[in-house]
Amino acid sequence: MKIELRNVGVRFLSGVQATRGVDLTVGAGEFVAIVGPSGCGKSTVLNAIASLIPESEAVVEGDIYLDGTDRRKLSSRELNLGYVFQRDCLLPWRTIGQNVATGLEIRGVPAAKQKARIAELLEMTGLTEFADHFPYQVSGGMRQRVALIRTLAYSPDVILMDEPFGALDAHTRMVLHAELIRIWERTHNTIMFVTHDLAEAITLAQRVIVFSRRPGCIRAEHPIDIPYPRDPFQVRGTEEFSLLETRIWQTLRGEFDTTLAKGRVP
Amino acid sequence: MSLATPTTAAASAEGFAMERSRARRSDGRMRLLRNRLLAIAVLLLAWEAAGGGFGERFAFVNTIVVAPPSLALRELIDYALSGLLLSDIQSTFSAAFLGLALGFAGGAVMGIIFGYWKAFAETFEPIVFALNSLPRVAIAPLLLMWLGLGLASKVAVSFFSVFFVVFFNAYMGTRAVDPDLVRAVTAIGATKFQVTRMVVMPSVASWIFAAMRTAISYALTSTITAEFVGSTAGLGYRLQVAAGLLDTKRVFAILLVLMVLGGLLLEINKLVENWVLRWRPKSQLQS
Repeated sequence: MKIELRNVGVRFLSGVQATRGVDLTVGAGEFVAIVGPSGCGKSTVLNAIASLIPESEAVVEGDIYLDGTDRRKLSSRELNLGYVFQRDCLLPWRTIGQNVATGLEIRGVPAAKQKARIAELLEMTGLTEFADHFPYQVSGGMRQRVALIRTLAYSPDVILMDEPFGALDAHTRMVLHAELIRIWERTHNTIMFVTHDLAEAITLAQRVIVFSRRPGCIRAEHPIDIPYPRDPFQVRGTEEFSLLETRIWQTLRGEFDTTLAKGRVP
Repeated sequence: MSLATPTTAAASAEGFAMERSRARRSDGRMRLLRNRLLAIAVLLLAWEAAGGGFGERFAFVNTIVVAPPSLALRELIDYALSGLLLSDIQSTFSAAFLGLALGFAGGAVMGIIFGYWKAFAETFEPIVFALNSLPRVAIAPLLLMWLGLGLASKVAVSFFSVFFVVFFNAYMGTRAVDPDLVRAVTAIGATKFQVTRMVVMPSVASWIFAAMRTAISYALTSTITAEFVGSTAGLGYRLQVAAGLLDTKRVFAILLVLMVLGGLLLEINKLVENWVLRWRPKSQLQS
């Protein structure tokens, strides 16, 4: 599914302008990462796409089209998108298997079909033996993996990811990077991945979008020409990677510097 | 074990160690059980002696005030054989349970309505808070006046004491639903109704269950109290009459019944709660 943002801004009723004038097109099957300083409104953009911003809290300006259809004309079911948050957001009273089934259950998929799909996904991520465990009984890395396959289970057209691996240790994160790349190469979902970690963005995405500080807008765009299949453990050591990192950091650094300077000077 | 290879030898050594530690643990449990029984036996014997069960020589309290356990037990058997015990238990516990069930359902529904409907909650909050600040049993005489000496008044008193406990937990539970979970399930495509079923209900249920233990004790306490105030049957009534006649052995017999049945109920509740809330991490405080 293609996502088009036209002059999108989000203004909170408290007076804060989170983002302003965002123009962005993400092609069907494209993997895009958005980086920017914290509080720049990159998550807010995802929330706007997912229609998760209540009218009682903020005004969404501009237009968002999904495959050419205005977002406002689509119900959340028709949107058929997946959203992975920084917190795993698993339902604690459901077992791992039941959590993975959530989206299928919501869509009224027959139980037998659910079962087969869940088994397949658990198998793919090595979680089969934990199907009957409750979330508190497994590690943070496993929980985030469950959150990911819960989203994949109902084959969403778009997957929005908001710093999904931010709370994990470096090693687990790399393992999940490898898994995400592998999955994306197979399914080719459209993915928008928000992070503040530049290396993570370069490792994963085909294109990195740099956001300015608040009110966030697009400062720069960098294509990442590293070919897939990428191995996150290898990619980071390459010269190509360091060059990209340096180049993107040039545009990103300005946003951090001014934020810090502003903080220091009263 | 002539065929034991090094690995199986190691495995069986490990098995022995595990066996031994299990045995040690069960030793510890047996010792605890023995100590507990001993403590109870000492207490009962002292009580028996004090009540004159071993002759007047050892009795150091007025036997009218403290009946020895042996007499209380004999009294309990007589009480049971007469058929009165069963009918008393029946009338007390049916009142307590009816009140518990109604108070539970009413409190849960009202609490959830309050949690969902802000304008409603804000309007009725002062009334509910005022009623809640009333000591529950203080309205027993009024309810007796209105509903008579029978079952209805006991049920009403039990209902009122249970209602508020459950109500406040359901209310708080509805408001404490994790907004991130609601957002996540909404993003997956859930309708409002599905969010309620998948997120709000289980979350509130855990809060309500936390109130169950208190609710059970409240239901029993208030029913017994209501029976003190005015009644023609029930354990509370029988207790009141026996105390009035200085019939201590009967008083002790009834107290024993209440203790055993109350304890049993709380134990059952604990089992149910542990099963229903099995998704929760085990408390670090209770080890």
